[in-house]
Amino acid sequence: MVSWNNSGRSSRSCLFRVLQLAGRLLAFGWLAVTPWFAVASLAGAAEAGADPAAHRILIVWENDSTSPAAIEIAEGLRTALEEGITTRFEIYSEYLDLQRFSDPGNIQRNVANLTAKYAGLSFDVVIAVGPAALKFILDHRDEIAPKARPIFGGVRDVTVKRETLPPDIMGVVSHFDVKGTIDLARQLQPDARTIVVLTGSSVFDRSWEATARSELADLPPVMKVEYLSDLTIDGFTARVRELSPDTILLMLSLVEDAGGKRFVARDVASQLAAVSGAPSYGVYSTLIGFGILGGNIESFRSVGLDMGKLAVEAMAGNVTARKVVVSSALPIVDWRQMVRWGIDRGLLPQSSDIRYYEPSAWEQYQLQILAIAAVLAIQTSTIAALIVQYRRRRRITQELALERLELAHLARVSQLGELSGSFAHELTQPLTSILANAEAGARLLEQNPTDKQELAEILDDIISDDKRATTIIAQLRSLMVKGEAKLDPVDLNHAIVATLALAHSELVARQTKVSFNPSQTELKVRGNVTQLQQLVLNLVLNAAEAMAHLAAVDRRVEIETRKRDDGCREMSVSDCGPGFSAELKLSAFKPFVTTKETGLGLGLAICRSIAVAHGGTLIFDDGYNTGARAVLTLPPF
Amino acid sequence: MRNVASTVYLVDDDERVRVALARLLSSTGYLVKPHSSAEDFLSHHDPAVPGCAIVDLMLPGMDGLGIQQSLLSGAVHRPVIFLSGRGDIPVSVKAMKAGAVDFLTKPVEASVLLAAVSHAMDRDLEARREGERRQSIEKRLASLTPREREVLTHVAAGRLNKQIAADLGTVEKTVKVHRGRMMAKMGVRTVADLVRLVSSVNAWQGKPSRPEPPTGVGP
Repeated sequence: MVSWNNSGRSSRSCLFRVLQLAGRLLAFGWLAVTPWFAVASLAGAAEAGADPAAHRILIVWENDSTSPAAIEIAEGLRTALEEGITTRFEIYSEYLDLQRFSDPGNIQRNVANLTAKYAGLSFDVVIAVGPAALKFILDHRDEIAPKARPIFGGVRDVTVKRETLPPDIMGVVSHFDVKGTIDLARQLQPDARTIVVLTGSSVFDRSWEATARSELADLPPVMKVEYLSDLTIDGFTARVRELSPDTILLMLSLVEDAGGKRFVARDVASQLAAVSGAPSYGVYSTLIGFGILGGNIESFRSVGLDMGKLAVEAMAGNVTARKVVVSSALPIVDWRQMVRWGIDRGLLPQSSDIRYYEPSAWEQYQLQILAIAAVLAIQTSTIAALIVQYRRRRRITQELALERLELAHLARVSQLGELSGSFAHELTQPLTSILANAEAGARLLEQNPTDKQELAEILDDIISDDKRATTIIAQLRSLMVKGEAKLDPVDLNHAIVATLALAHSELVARQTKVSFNPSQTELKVRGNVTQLQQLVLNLVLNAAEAMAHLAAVDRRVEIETRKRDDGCREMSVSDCGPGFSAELKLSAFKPFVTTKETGLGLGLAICRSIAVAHGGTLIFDDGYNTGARAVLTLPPF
Repeated sequence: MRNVASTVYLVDDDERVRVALARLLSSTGYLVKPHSSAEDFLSHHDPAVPGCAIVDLMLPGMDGLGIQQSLLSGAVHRPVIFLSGRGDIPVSVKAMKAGAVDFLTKPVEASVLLAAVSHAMDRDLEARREGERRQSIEKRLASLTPREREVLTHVAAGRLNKQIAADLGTVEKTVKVHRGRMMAKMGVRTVADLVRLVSSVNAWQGKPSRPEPPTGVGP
């Protein structure tokens, strides 16, 4: 006989119990392969030799060994015995399957068999599990285990009342705890003020209503109890559907409705719980898992525990008189219903048995989640650090750009200041023309007849000269203003023409001839007109300055633009001056490097920074030997 | 009122300014000859044409002062009015010392410009008249015989016939004959007129003129 069946563990057990059992199975795994008996003693194992007379326990089971009830009871029994007995003990189990094989012949064969089987063994205790097993033992204890103290369990009080019990009997009577269930319900639903007790119309159902009325008589006055009975199943369904969620629905018994329709308890409870507007409770453990939230229900394990404790007492010889205890119930809840009704787990009593528990992702994958969270945290902090770094770099870049802009503007303004005389002259030309035209027109009007054709030409000229003046002023203003370094589509050729127009007077004054050889098509670049003009102006004036020592006829600057094959835009400014030494070609762009007696040496440095800001380059052509040739390269548009 | 032949040479590299000024000057009755550069102007300039030149100081290639120098070195007395975009005092002083009629700042008012042009025209006219007078004096001087020229020098120096005859080793009567012819050829009747005439010629020929003051003239 296998004393402990370690297969068929109920999947309903909550996680911690599985772990607990796993630990135990590891400790006693070897017992499972022991063929006919099990020897178990935790603390007592060492003292086994000192106590040769081991306690022997015979368990007679009414059902088969794989039934969940039997397994749970066995586990409870085992736990209680382990905790209670310090000496060696032996357990013998007999699964008689008496419900399926209840004919007297079979019982007789069993009696004969067990009598023969255990003839040489003396039992301290014989445990009967189930009413049929109890009857079997009461009838045949003298043959099978004459000296053993009988203990029963898994038997309802109605059965106990029916049997005539011997004086030495000990046992656990199952009781259905209405009061305890309502207490549990009130604990889980602290705001509930209404209790609805549902009972059917049969005599049995009515007895349940009576039980409830007596058990719930001393509830605090704030609690209102409604008794729902004498309805058809449709009536019950309609009424429970209307219940508000802060109501407690206690489904006690509905064997038969007002229409005489009979039901299986589990089916009808399941049907009503599904549509109920309020959480429902019950007192039968069989209802757990079929829609009710829970109840203060005795579990088969607790029955086993209680029987185990009685067996320990009996073996210790403490109790000789009859002792029948009511099985201890414990709060059992269906986790899925807890979730359905949104009830906080913290409201559950400590000892609660949570069934159908679905571990949260956290409980199931704690390690993985921690690992992922750690990786995420590391990544996040890395990203954050990178962002901070990027922001800082961008701010510095912006500051640099701003400073460059500031410097470019300062250089521009100072250059414009130096050229102010030339600009004034440039502006004077259209003004001269306008004044002369206007006065000529005034004279023309005095003549008779007035030459209207001539007058119209004069006015046209005045208009175009005025526009010319406006253009110059606009140009000057755009160069003067410290603008945003915004990049727009710019025609490089156009920018050069405008710059040369502005510098015309200055170049005339310096007696320098500038020829511009533009590319055949317009040369679109993404750039800042002001800065590009500043760059052109700077290069042209530098070139002019480099040739100041030459005869006027030899002072020639050539500007050329072209689109290179690779799409880059190129502008070159060549002069006929002395050129740069190889050394100076490299350092010319550095700030404060200058060959002029006056001048800061910032011009070319700023030109280069303008070129770089446009994504381009500015260099001096190494291959050009008849002077200096500055080459600006800008990326394709 | 103005001489129809009066011409204004206009030198400015800015075409629009050139056109506008030409328009203004034309409306006043001048004949305008516009030029865009010093070189263009100098190659077309005719000193014989009466008139003046308006020259922009700042020109590509040779500038306004260059034109002035070029004219002076060619002994051409063309009155020049300078126009400048900027009131550059050292340059204007230089220009005025070199004989510029005026130095005007752009943009120039018509009244100011026309007054300057008018002034320049007067100068030109005067210069031309002076030139013509000198030319006629020279012509008359050229018609004198060497002897008559000697007599002229002495007469202009205020010497008496008797003294001249002694100096020249001749008789007073011969001197009188030469003197009479000389006075007739020169077209003067008094010694004072002769002296004025000769002194201007001397100045023109660059010779030191030391004519003694015309005192106690006449036989």
